Amino acid sequence: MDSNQIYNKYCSRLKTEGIIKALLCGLTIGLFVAAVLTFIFWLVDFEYFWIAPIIGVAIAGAATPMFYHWMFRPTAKSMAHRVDGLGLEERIVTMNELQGDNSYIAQRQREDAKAALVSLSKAATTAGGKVAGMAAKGATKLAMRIPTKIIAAVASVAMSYSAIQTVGILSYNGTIPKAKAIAEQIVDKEIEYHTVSYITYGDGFIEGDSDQVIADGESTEIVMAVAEDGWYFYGWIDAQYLDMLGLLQMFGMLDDYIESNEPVRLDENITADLEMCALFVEMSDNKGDPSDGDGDGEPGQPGDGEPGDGDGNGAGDPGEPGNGSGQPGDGPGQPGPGQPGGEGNGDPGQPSYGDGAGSGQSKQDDTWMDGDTPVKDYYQQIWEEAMQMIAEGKELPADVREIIEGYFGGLKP
Amino acid sequence: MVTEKDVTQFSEQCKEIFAQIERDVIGQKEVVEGTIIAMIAGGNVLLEGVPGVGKTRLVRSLGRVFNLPFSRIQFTPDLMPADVTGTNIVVKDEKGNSTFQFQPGPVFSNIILADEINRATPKTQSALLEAMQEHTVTVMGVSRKLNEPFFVLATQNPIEQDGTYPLPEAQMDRFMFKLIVKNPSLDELMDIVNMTQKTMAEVANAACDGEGLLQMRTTANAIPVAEPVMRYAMTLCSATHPDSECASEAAKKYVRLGASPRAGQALISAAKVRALLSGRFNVSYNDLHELAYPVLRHRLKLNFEAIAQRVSADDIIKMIIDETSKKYDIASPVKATATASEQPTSEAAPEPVTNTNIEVNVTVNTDGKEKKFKRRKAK
Repeated sequence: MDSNQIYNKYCSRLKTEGIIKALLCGLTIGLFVAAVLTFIFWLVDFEYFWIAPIIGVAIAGAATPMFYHWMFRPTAKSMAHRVDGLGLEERIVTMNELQGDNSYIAQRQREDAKAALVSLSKAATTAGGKVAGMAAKGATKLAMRIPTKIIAAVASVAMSYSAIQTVGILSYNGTIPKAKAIAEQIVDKEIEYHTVSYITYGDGFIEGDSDQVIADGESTEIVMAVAEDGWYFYGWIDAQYLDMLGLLQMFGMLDDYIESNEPVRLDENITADLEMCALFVEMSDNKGDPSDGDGDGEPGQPGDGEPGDGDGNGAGDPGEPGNGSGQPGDGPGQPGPGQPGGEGNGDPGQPSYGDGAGSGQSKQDDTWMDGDTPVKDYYQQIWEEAMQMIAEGKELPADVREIIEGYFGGLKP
Repeated sequence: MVTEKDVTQFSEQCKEIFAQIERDVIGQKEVVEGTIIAMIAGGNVLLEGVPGVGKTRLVRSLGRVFNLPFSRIQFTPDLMPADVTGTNIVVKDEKGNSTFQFQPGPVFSNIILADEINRATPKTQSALLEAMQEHTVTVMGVSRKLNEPFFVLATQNPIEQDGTYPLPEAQMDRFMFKLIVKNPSLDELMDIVNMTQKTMAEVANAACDGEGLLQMRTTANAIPVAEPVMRYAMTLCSATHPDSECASEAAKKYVRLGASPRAGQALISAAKVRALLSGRFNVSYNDLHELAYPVLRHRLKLNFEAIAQRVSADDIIKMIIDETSKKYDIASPVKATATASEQPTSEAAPEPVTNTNIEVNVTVNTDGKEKKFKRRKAK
């Protein structure tokens, strides 16, 4: 076989490879355009879907020769490089460069290259399909080398087109809603917002955002009711009941309307406007009525427990609510006469009688913890840390929760 | 203009040169091939090896085979430059007048064996610089041309470092190849001992002469190098420079100073000879891969990291070849070697090129791997 024929055979393979690559690239472009058009047709409710594939085919047909010409047409150099890859040790590349050179060495080089090419072809032929060694390597190299990127691009674009086309057809048949209807449905749906307000009644304040605008179904940010000195937090009540607070108090129904005694508040799944009020009650005033302060419950008497003999960490039980006419009597108990260092183990006071504490400083004193740190500062710090944790989405540790709850709970008489 | 006669002559002379060298030197095929390639390409060779492995014998045999005047200079610390180049001496003419007359040194020969070159002081070593590059010697302001062909074949011992002076970079760069002479294998050792028990005499005959060698060089120079191959060769050289635009990762990590442009010249010149010796009329990537080791290994100045991690110049060259061949989409040298070794056993493998008069098919491999020394007969 003439070496030129063999070389041409390799070249024709490479040309075929170039055509296939160009075809795949053209197809990718065509399918992409068809997919985009189909999508647009579906959006604007254009019935003639068949126009998109026709345009796609036309574009693919036009793009393929352009891709071949500018990108995949094998040049003499690239063909020589590929054929040399069969193990011809750069004979073909050199032969290409020496075209037109008639020196003795150039002629010998050409003969050498052609002989190597013929030898390679013979080896591949005589192997009878079981090509081995260098021939196998060559056969592999000259097999079509279509980059996986091109194949992946064609496949993904084809799948996209198929999907969009299917949606279009189903929409046209009425199986699924048309794009216009879906779009209208999406556009028309407005998000509803609700206003959530937290107000106070009495001497205290709301820590956190007291006026919040919350999307429907969402949760509020956490707020906390904090009492001023000499006041304590009684509970949360819907603000609509504020006008009838006196009546509720009068009939002893206030507690029924108190939603929560926890100062920390988080409202979930907000579906309507909401206004909540944090009730605060003055501690020094033993009036049971937080609304008009005319309760006349007697303050609890100091307890009469015996001085303890322990290590002074006991606290007297708070007195029971007073039982005067003003309901409820909830004056705090007075400090007991217990000696410092004694373990408070006195009996709880009777109703209207405060209970003594073993310590020289009462809990309700709310001034000094250890003679140095103000109690309020201590709890304020704990509270800030807790708020920080809540803001970070962490769960409050049990001890922190206990301290906070204990602090506010402890202020109750 | 190279003719058919030149190519035929090249082939015959190569065959004869290898045959004659084999009579005196047993084993050391790679070193012999490397040395002959360098001599045909016109380069100097630095032979490094422990004592007794046949360095000096090889050089002497080469002198005999090429039928060229041969000088041996034993480098010692007290050797002076004038002992190498020659000097002007005062002579009296017939009339009794004293005049200076140049007394040529041993460098005025065709093949110079610079034995244990690293034992001389840098000053004396430098006396060879001009001779090695320009093939001239300047004494007292007068330049004298050396006979052509001119080669310096130097030897050095890598073990004994006490009292030696490492060759400066400028001198190293003037050696085309640095070849590592290894200890002979067991079989080779038996052959050496058997042979030397009979006679220590060197029996190699002349196979070529100076003119023939120059003609061989001209023939080899005519071998074409395709542009991509040339570009690849230059990329290999540039990749050794840590600061160059095509610096390899290995060079950036381990090399302080890369190869000079002389390395590129040497690589191409040697590759042409190797191609012709292999029966090809073009240079291949594989030629460059094989020759990169002897051409580049002494031109790389390694940094502290390489020395600390005991990374050798050959290791770095291998990394550079691997990296560059990947960049150029060239089959890696390891694969190429495997394919070549499959060839003889595979029926499907193509026949070697036979329509040529080149009979000697040598493979220079100095990267430390065992390799067959093949000879093919022309049809």
